[in-house]
Amino acid sequence: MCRTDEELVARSAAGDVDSFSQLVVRWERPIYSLAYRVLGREEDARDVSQETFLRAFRAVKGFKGEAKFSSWLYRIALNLCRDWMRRERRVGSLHGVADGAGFDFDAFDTGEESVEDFVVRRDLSRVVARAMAALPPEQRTAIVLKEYHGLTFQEIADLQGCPLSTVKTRLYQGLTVLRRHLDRTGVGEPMPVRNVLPYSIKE
Amino acid sequence: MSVMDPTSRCSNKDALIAYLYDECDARARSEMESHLLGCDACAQEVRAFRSVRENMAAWTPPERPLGLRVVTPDRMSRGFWRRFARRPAWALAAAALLIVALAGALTTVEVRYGRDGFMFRIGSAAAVSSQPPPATVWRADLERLEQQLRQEIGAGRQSWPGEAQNVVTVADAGAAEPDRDALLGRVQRLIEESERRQQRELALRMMQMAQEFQEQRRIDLRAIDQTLDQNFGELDYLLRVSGR
Repeated sequence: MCRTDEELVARSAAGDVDSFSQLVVRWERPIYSLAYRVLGREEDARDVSQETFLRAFRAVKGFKGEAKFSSWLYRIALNLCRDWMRRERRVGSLHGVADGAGFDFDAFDTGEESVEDFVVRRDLSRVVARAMAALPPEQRTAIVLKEYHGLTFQEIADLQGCPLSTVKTRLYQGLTVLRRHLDRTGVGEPMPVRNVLPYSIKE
Repeated sequence: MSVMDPTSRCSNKDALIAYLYDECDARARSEMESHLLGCDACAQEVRAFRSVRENMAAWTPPERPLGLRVVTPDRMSRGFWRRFARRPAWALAAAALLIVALAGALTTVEVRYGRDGFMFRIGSAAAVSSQPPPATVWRADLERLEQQLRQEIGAGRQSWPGEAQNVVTVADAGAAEPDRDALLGRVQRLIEESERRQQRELALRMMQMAQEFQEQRRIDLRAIDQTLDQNFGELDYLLRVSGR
Protein backbone atom coordinates (compact mmCIF):
# COMPACT_ATOMS: atom_id res chain seq x y z
CA MET A 1 0.00 0.00 0.00
CA CYS A 2 1.41 3.33 -1.05
CA ARG A 3 0.74 6.08 1.47
CA THR A 4 0.83 9.77 0.64
CA ASP A 5 3.51 12.06 1.98
CA GLU A 6 1.00 13.63 4.35
CA GLU A 7 0.04 10.26 5.84
CA LEU A 8 3.65 9.27 6.28
CA VAL A 9 4.49 12.63 7.86
CA ALA A 10 1.61 12.26 10.31
CA ARG A 11 2.81 8.78 11.28
CA SER A 12 6.41 9.98 11.54
CA ALA A 13 5.33 12.80 13.81
CA ALA A 14 3.67 10.19 16.03
CA GLY A 15 6.99 8.38 16.34
CA ASP A 16 6.77 5.82 13.55
CA VAL A 17 10.34 5.53 12.31
CA ASP A 18 9.43 3.18 9.46
CA SER A 19 7.14 5.81 7.98
CA PHE A 20 9.94 8.31 8.00
CA SER A 21 12.17 5.71 6.35
CA GLN A 22 9.65 5.49 3.53
CA LEU A 23 9.80 9.26 3.10
CA VAL A 24 13.59 9.03 2.94
CA VAL A 25 13.43 6.36 0.25
CA ARG A 26 10.92 8.42 -1.70
CA TRP A 27 12.78 11.74 -1.54
CA GLU A 28 16.47 10.95 -1.21
CA ARG A 29 17.13 11.02 -4.97
CA PRO A 30 15.42 14.36 -5.66
CA ILE A 31 17.12 15.96 -2.68
CA TYR A 32 20.48 14.51 -3.63
CA SER A 33 20.07 15.62 -7.26
CA LEU A 34 19.14 19.11 -6.14
CA ALA A 35 22.19 19.37 -3.89
CA TYR A 36 24.45 17.85 -6.54
CA ARG A 37 23.42 20.32 -9.21
CA VAL A 38 23.53 23.31 -6.88
CA LEU A 39 26.83 22.43 -5.21
CA GLY A 40 28.39 20.45 -8.03
CA ARG A 41 30.21 17.84 -5.98
CA GLU A 42 29.07 14.36 -5.18
CA GLU A 43 30.48 14.10 -1.69
CA ASP A 44 29.06 17.47 -0.63
CA ALA A 45 25.70 16.56 -2.12
CA ARG A 46 25.69 13.34 -0.11
CA ASP A 47 26.50 15.21 3.08
CA VAL A 48 23.79 17.78 2.43
CA SER A 49 21.24 15.05 1.67
CA GLN A 50 22.05 13.23 4.87
CA GLU A 51 21.89 16.42 6.91
CA THR A 52 18.59 17.39 5.27
CA PHE A 53 16.90 14.19 6.39
CA LEU A 54 18.50 14.38 9.79
CA ARG A 55 17.05 17.87 10.30
CA ALA A 56 13.72 16.81 8.89
CA PHE A 57 13.63 13.83 11.26
CA ARG A 58 14.34 16.08 14.23
CA ALA A 59 11.73 18.64 13.21
CA VAL A 60 9.00 16.43 11.78
CA LYS A 61 6.92 16.69 14.95
CA GLY A 62 6.74 20.44 14.47
CA PHE A 63 5.78 20.20 10.80
CA LYS A 64 2.23 21.52 10.62
CA GLY A 65 1.61 20.92 6.97
CA GLU A 66 1.21 24.54 5.86
CA ALA A 67 3.41 23.67 2.89
CA LYS A 68 3.92 20.40 1.07
CA PHE A 69 6.40 18.05 2.70
CA SER A 70 8.51 18.13 -0.46
CA SER A 71 8.67 21.95 -0.40
CA TRP A 72 9.67 21.81 3.23
CA LEU A 73 12.46 19.32 2.42
CA TYR A 74 13.61 21.43 -0.53
CA ARG A 75 13.79 24.46 1.71
CA ILE A 76 15.94 22.64 4.26
CA ALA A 77 18.24 21.33 1.53
CA LEU A 78 18.59 24.73 -0.14
CA ASN A 79 19.38 26.40 3.18
CA LEU A 80 22.08 23.81 3.77
CA CYS A 81 23.45 24.32 0.25
CA ARG A 82 23.59 28.06 0.86
CA ASP A 83 25.44 27.58 4.14
CA TRP A 84 27.77 25.15 2.38
CA MET A 85 28.62 27.65 -0.35
CA ARG A 86 29.16 30.43 2.17
CA ARG A 87 31.54 28.25 4.14
CA GLU A 88 33.40 27.29 0.97
CA ARG A 89 33.87 30.96 0.14
CA ARG A 90 34.97 31.75 3.69
CA VAL A 91 37.67 29.09 3.87
CA GLY A 92 38.74 29.86 0.30
CA SER A 93 38.25 26.37 -0.96
CA LEU A 94 40.11 25.39 -4.10
CA HIS A 95 37.04 23.61 -5.38
CA GLY A 96 34.63 25.25 -7.74
CA VAL A 97 31.17 24.10 -8.59
CA ALA A 98 30.93 21.01 -10.74
CA ASP A 99 33.03 20.70 -13.82
CA GLY A 100 31.34 17.49 -14.84
CA ALA A 101 34.00 15.30 -13.29
CA GLY A 102 31.28 13.59 -11.30
CA PHE A 103 29.65 12.14 -14.38
CA ASP A 104 28.22 8.76 -13.60
CA PHE A 105 29.97 6.14 -15.70
CA ASP A 106 27.68 3.47 -14.31
CA ALA A 107 24.91 5.25 -16.19
CA PHE A 108 26.10 3.70 -19.43
CA ASP A 109 23.28 1.45 -20.45
CA THR A 110 24.28 -0.86 -23.28
CA GLY A 111 20.65 -1.69 -23.91
CA GLU A 112 19.53 1.85 -24.62
CA GLU A 113 22.40 3.73 -26.21
CA SER A 114 25.53 3.11 -28.21
CA VAL A 115 29.02 3.80 -26.94
CA GLU A 116 29.24 6.76 -29.32
CA ASP A 117 26.08 8.30 -27.90
CA PHE A 118 27.34 7.68 -24.40
CA VAL A 119 30.62 9.48 -25.11
CA VAL A 120 28.78 12.42 -26.70
CA ARG A 121 26.41 12.57 -23.75
CA ARG A 122 29.32 12.51 -21.33
CA ASP A 123 31.03 15.38 -23.14
CA LEU A 124 27.81 17.35 -23.30
CA SER A 125 27.25 16.71 -19.60
CA ARG A 126 30.62 18.24 -18.85
CA VAL A 127 29.93 21.26 -21.00
CA VAL A 128 26.58 21.85 -19.31
CA ALA A 129 28.09 21.35 -15.86
CA ARG A 130 30.80 23.90 -16.58
CA ALA A 131 28.27 26.36 -17.95
CA MET A 132 26.09 25.92 -14.85
CA ALA A 133 29.12 26.43 -12.63
CA ALA A 134 29.65 29.82 -14.24
CA LEU A 135 26.24 31.06 -13.09
CA PRO A 136 25.72 33.01 -9.86
CA PRO A 137 24.23 30.73 -7.17
CA GLU A 138 20.76 32.34 -7.27
CA GLN A 139 20.44 31.91 -11.03
CA ARG A 140 21.82 28.39 -10.89
CA THR A 141 19.39 27.41 -8.14
CA ALA A 142 16.42 28.90 -10.00
CA ILE A 143 17.34 27.04 -13.19
CA VAL A 144 17.90 23.76 -11.35
CA LEU A 145 14.53 24.02 -9.61
CA LYS A 146 12.76 24.85 -12.87
CA GLU A 147 14.53 22.59 -15.33
CA TYR A 148 15.24 19.50 -13.29
CA HIS A 149 12.51 19.59 -10.65
CA GLY A 150 9.66 21.16 -12.55
CA LEU A 151 8.70 23.71 -9.91
CA THR A 152 6.42 26.58 -10.82
CA PHE A 153 7.63 30.19 -10.77
CA GLN A 154 5.64 30.72 -7.58
CA GLU A 155 7.16 27.68 -5.85
CA ILE A 156 10.65 28.88 -6.76
CA ALA A 157 9.84 32.38 -5.54
CA ASP A 158 8.66 30.93 -2.21
CA LEU A 159 11.79 28.81 -1.83
CA GLN A 160 14.16 31.60 -2.81
CA GLY A 161 12.26 34.23 -0.86
CA CYS A 162 12.00 36.66 -3.75
CA PRO A 163 9.27 38.15 -5.98
CA LEU A 164 7.92 36.25 -8.96
CA SER A 165 9.45 38.72 -11.42
CA THR A 166 12.89 38.15 -9.87
CA VAL A 167 12.58 34.42 -10.55
CA LYS A 168 11.77 35.11 -14.21
CA THR A 169 14.68 37.51 -14.48
CA ARG A 170 17.02 34.95 -12.95
CA LEU A 171 15.82 32.31 -15.38
CA TYR A 172 16.17 34.64 -18.36
CA GLN A 173 19.65 35.79 -17.38
CA GLY A 174 20.75 32.24 -16.54
CA LEU A 175 19.53 30.86 -19.85
CA THR A 176 21.25 33.70 -21.69
CA VAL A 177 24.58 32.88 -20.04
CA LEU A 178 24.12 29.17 -20.70
CA ARG A 179 23.25 29.84 -24.33
CA ARG A 180 26.39 31.94 -24.78
CA HIS A 181 28.53 29.33 -23.05
CA LEU A 182 27.15 26.43 -25.10
CA ASP A 183 27.53 28.39 -28.34
CA ARG A 184 31.14 29.16 -27.47
CA THR A 185 31.92 25.50 -26.83
CA GLY A 186 30.36 24.49 -30.13
CA VAL A 187 27.27 22.80 -28.74
CA GLY A 188 24.63 23.64 -31.28
CA GLU A 189 21.65 21.45 -31.87
CA PRO A 190 20.56 19.39 -28.91
CA MET A 191 21.16 15.67 -28.93
CA PRO A 192 18.37 13.30 -28.01
CA VAL A 193 18.62 12.42 -24.32
CA ARG A 194 16.42 10.68 -21.85
CA ASN A 195 15.38 11.77 -18.37
CA VAL A 196 14.42 15.29 -19.24
CA LEU A 197 12.39 15.57 -16.09
CA PRO A 198 12.77 12.45 -13.98
CA TYR A 199 10.71 13.70 -11.07
CA SER A 200 8.71 16.63 -9.98
CA ILE A 201 7.29 17.86 -6.74
CA LYS A 202 4.06 18.58 -8.54
CA GLU A 203 1.30 16.30 -7.47
CA MET B 1 -2.45 44.47 -23.15
CA SER B 2 -3.60 43.03 -26.43
CA VAL B 3 -2.58 46.17 -28.32
CA MET B 4 1.12 46.35 -27.70
CA ASP B 5 3.83 47.77 -29.85
CA PRO B 6 6.55 45.32 -30.92
CA THR B 7 9.34 47.12 -29.06
CA SER B 8 7.71 46.75 -25.65
CA ARG B 9 6.95 43.11 -26.39
CA CYS B 10 10.64 42.52 -27.21
CA SER B 11 11.72 44.12 -23.95
CA ASN B 12 9.24 42.10 -21.89
CA LYS B 13 11.49 39.21 -20.96
CA ASP B 14 9.15 38.03 -18.22
CA ALA B 15 6.52 37.31 -20.86
CA LEU B 16 9.05 35.47 -22.98
CA ILE B 17 10.11 33.27 -20.05
CA ALA B 18 6.49 32.61 -19.08
CA TYR B 19 5.79 31.55 -22.67
CA LEU B 20 8.93 29.41 -22.83
CA TYR B 21 7.94 27.48 -19.69
CA ASP B 22 4.27 27.46 -20.58
CA GLU B 23 3.25 29.32 -17.45
CA CYS B 24 1.03 31.90 -19.04
CA ASP B 25 -2.66 32.09 -19.84
CA ALA B 26 -4.10 31.44 -23.30
CA ARG B 27 -4.33 35.12 -24.16
CA ALA B 28 -0.70 35.87 -23.30
CA ARG B 29 0.35 32.79 -25.24
CA SER B 30 -1.56 33.87 -28.29
CA GLU B 31 -0.07 37.38 -28.11
CA MET B 32 3.43 36.00 -27.82
CA GLU B 33 2.91 33.65 -30.76
CA SER B 34 1.71 36.54 -32.91
CA HIS B 35 4.72 38.55 -31.87
CA LEU B 36 7.14 35.74 -32.65
CA LEU B 37 5.75 35.47 -36.18
CA GLY B 38 6.87 39.01 -36.90
CA CYS B 39 9.98 39.31 -34.75
CA ASP B 40 13.01 37.31 -35.85
CA ALA B 41 15.12 38.30 -32.86
CA CYS B 42 12.64 37.02 -30.29
CA ALA B 43 11.84 33.91 -32.33
CA GLN B 44 15.53 33.10 -32.53
CA GLU B 45 15.94 33.65 -28.80
CA VAL B 46 13.09 31.27 -28.01
CA ARG B 47 14.58 28.62 -30.34
CA ALA B 48 18.01 29.03 -28.73
CA PHE B 49 16.56 28.74 -25.22
CA ARG B 50 14.68 25.59 -26.18
CA SER B 51 17.91 24.14 -27.51
CA VAL B 52 19.72 25.02 -24.26
CA ARG B 53 16.97 23.36 -22.25
CA GLU B 54 17.19 20.17 -24.26
CA ASN B 55 20.97 20.04 -23.93
CA MET B 56 20.71 20.56 -20.19
CA ALA B 57 19.00 17.20 -19.84
CA ALA B 58 22.37 15.54 -20.55
CA TRP B 59 23.66 16.62 -17.14
CA THR B 60 22.58 13.89 -14.76
CA PRO B 61 23.79 13.27 -11.22
CA PRO B 62 25.56 9.99 -10.40
CA GLU B 63 23.05 7.20 -9.91
CA ARG B 64 24.92 5.33 -7.23
CA PRO B 65 22.69 4.46 -4.26
CA LEU B 66 22.87 6.85 -1.37
CA GLY B 67 22.19 4.22 1.25
CA LEU B 68 20.52 6.62 3.66
CA ARG B 69 18.96 4.73 6.53
CA VAL B 70 17.07 5.85 9.59
CA VAL B 71 18.66 4.40 12.70
CA THR B 72 17.30 5.40 16.08
CA PRO B 73 19.60 5.42 19.13
CA ASP B 74 18.12 2.27 20.69
CA ARG B 75 18.43 0.32 17.43
CA MET B 76 21.91 1.69 16.97
CA SER B 77 23.13 0.63 20.40
CA ARG B 78 21.61 -2.84 20.04
CA GLY B 79 23.24 -3.22 16.66
CA PHE B 80 26.54 -1.93 17.92
CA TRP B 81 26.81 -4.36 20.84
CA ARG B 82 25.63 -7.24 18.69
CA ARG B 83 28.33 -6.48 16.13
CA PHE B 84 30.85 -5.86 18.89
CA ALA B 85 30.21 -9.27 20.44
CA ARG B 86 30.79 -11.01 17.11
CA ARG B 87 34.32 -9.61 16.72
CA PRO B 88 37.23 -12.09 17.17
CA ALA B 89 39.37 -11.87 20.29
CA TRP B 90 42.43 -10.53 18.47
CA ALA B 91 40.39 -7.67 17.03
CA LEU B 92 39.05 -6.77 20.46
CA ALA B 93 42.59 -6.87 21.88
CA ALA B 94 43.85 -4.61 19.08
CA ALA B 95 40.99 -2.19 19.68
CA ALA B 96 41.74 -2.16 23.41
CA LEU B 97 45.42 -1.41 22.69
CA LEU B 98 44.45 1.39 20.38
CA ILE B 99 42.17 2.91 23.00
CA VAL B 100 44.92 2.71 25.62
CA ALA B 101 47.40 4.32 23.22
CA LEU B 102 44.97 7.10 22.41
CA ALA B 103 44.22 7.66 26.07
CA GLY B 104 47.95 7.82 26.74
CA ALA B 105 48.42 10.39 24.02
CA LEU B 106 45.65 12.54 25.44
CA THR B 107 46.71 12.45 29.08
CA THR B 108 49.11 14.65 30.91
CA VAL B 109 51.25 14.14 34.00
CA GLU B 110 50.40 16.27 36.97
CA VAL B 111 53.03 16.82 39.68
CA ARG B 112 52.16 18.15 43.11
CA TYR B 113 54.31 19.00 46.05
CA GLY B 114 53.11 18.44 49.61
CA ARG B 115 54.37 17.69 53.08
CA ASP B 116 54.75 14.06 52.18
CA GLY B 117 56.99 14.84 49.26
CA PHE B 118 55.96 14.69 45.62
CA MET B 119 52.90 13.16 44.12
CA PHE B 120 52.57 12.19 40.45
CA ARG B 121 49.17 11.76 38.92
CA ILE B 122 48.02 10.90 35.41
CA GLY B 123 45.01 12.97 34.28
CA SER B 124 43.18 13.84 31.12
CA ALA B 125 44.33 16.80 29.10
CA ALA B 126 41.03 18.64 29.17
CA ALA B 127 42.71 21.98 28.72
CA VAL B 128 44.36 20.77 25.56
CA SER B 129 41.34 19.23 23.99
CA SER B 130 39.11 22.19 24.77
CA GLN B 131 41.20 24.41 22.52
CA PRO B 132 40.73 23.35 18.94
CA PRO B 133 43.58 24.20 16.58
CA PRO B 134 43.04 27.00 14.08
CA ALA B 135 41.40 25.99 10.82
CA THR B 136 44.18 27.02 8.48
CA VAL B 137 47.85 26.70 9.25
CA TRP B 138 50.55 27.31 6.76
CA ARG B 139 53.29 24.74 6.42
CA ALA B 140 56.03 27.28 7.10
CA ASP B 141 54.38 28.22 10.39
CA LEU B 142 54.12 24.58 11.33
CA GLU B 143 57.76 23.94 10.58
CA ARG B 144 58.80 26.97 12.55
CA LEU B 145 56.68 25.87 15.49
CA GLU B 146 58.08 22.35 15.28
CA GLN B 147 61.65 23.69 15.28
CA GLN B 148 60.93 25.87 18.27
CA LEU B 149 59.39 22.99 20.17
CA ARG B 150 62.33 20.72 19.46
CA GLN B 151 64.72 23.35 20.76
CA GLU B 152 62.69 23.88 23.87
CA ILE B 153 62.38 20.16 24.54
CA GLY B 154 66.12 19.69 23.95
CA ALA B 155 66.98 22.53 26.33
CA GLY B 156 64.54 21.20 28.88
CA ARG B 157 66.08 17.74 28.81
CA GLN B 158 69.52 19.16 29.58
CA SER B 159 68.33 21.07 32.61
CA TRP B 160 65.88 18.54 34.05
CA PRO B 161 68.26 16.02 35.66
CA GLY B 162 69.77 18.63 37.94
CA GLU B 163 66.40 20.04 38.86
CA ALA B 164 65.00 16.63 39.55
CA GLN B 165 67.91 15.75 41.81
CA ASN B 166 67.34 18.87 43.86
CA VAL B 167 63.70 18.15 44.22
CA VAL B 168 64.23 14.60 45.38
CA THR B 169 66.80 15.65 47.89
CA VAL B 170 64.54 18.22 49.46
CA ALA B 171 61.60 15.91 49.51
CA ASP B 172 63.53 13.10 51.09
CA ALA B 173 65.26 15.16 53.70
CA GLY B 174 62.32 17.36 54.64
CA ALA B 175 64.85 19.60 56.41
CA ALA B 176 65.27 22.48 54.02
CA GLU B 177 62.23 24.48 55.17
CA PRO B 178 63.72 27.94 54.42
CA ASP B 179 64.08 27.11 50.71
CA ARG B 180 60.67 25.58 50.44
CA ASP B 181 58.88 28.53 48.83
CA ALA B 182 61.61 29.07 46.29
CA LEU B 183 61.60 25.40 45.48
CA LEU B 184 57.84 25.35 45.14
CA GLY B 185 58.02 28.26 42.72
CA ARG B 186 60.60 26.50 40.58
CA VAL B 187 58.64 23.28 40.53
CA GLN B 188 55.48 25.16 39.64
CA ARG B 189 57.25 26.88 36.75
CA LEU B 190 58.60 23.55 35.54
CA ILE B 191 55.18 22.02 35.63
CA GLU B 192 53.61 24.91 33.78
CA GLU B 193 56.31 24.82 31.12
CA SER B 194 55.86 21.10 30.72
CA GLU B 195 52.10 21.49 30.33
CA ARG B 196 52.47 24.25 27.77
CA ARG B 197 54.90 22.14 25.78
CA GLN B 198 52.56 19.19 25.80
CA GLN B 199 49.61 21.31 24.72
CA ARG B 200 51.52 22.87 21.86
CA GLU B 201 52.93 19.54 20.76
CA LEU B 202 49.50 17.96 20.69
CA ALA B 203 48.03 20.93 18.81
CA LEU B 204 50.89 20.72 16.34
CA ARG B 205 50.33 17.03 15.73
CA MET B 206 46.62 17.52 15.20
CA MET B 207 47.18 20.37 12.74
CA GLN B 208 49.75 18.39 10.83
CA MET B 209 47.44 15.40 10.62
CA ALA B 210 44.55 17.53 9.39
CA GLN B 211 46.68 19.20 6.75
CA GLU B 212 48.23 15.96 5.54
CA PHE B 213 44.78 14.42 5.29
CA GLN B 214 43.54 17.35 3.18
CA GLU B 215 46.57 17.21 0.90
CA GLN B 216 46.25 13.49 0.39
CA ARG B 217 42.58 13.90 -0.42
CA ARG B 218 43.35 16.52 -3.07
CA ILE B 219 46.07 14.35 -4.58
CA ASP B 220 43.78 11.33 -4.71
CA LEU B 221 40.95 13.26 -6.33
CA ARG B 222 43.32 14.70 -8.94
CA ALA B 223 44.74 11.24 -9.67
CA ILE B 224 41.27 9.76 -10.10
CA ASP B 225 40.27 12.57 -12.43
CA GLN B 226 43.41 12.15 -14.54
CA THR B 227 42.91 8.39 -14.77
CA LEU B 228 39.33 8.85 -15.91
CA ASP B 229 40.35 11.44 -18.50
CA GLN B 230 43.07 9.13 -19.76
CA ASN B 231 40.68 6.18 -20.01
CA PHE B 232 38.16 8.21 -21.92
CA GLY B 233 40.85 9.61 -24.19
CA GLU B 234 41.77 6.05 -25.07
CA LEU B 235 38.13 5.19 -25.55
CA ASP B 236 37.68 8.16 -27.91
CA TYR B 237 40.73 7.03 -29.84
CA LEU B 238 39.44 3.47 -30.11
CA LEU B 239 36.10 4.77 -31.32
CA ARG B 240 37.76 6.92 -33.97
CA VAL B 241 39.94 4.01 -35.10
CA SER B 242 37.05 1.58 -35.20
CA GLY B 243 35.00 4.10 -37.17
CA ARG B 244 37.55 4.29 -40.02
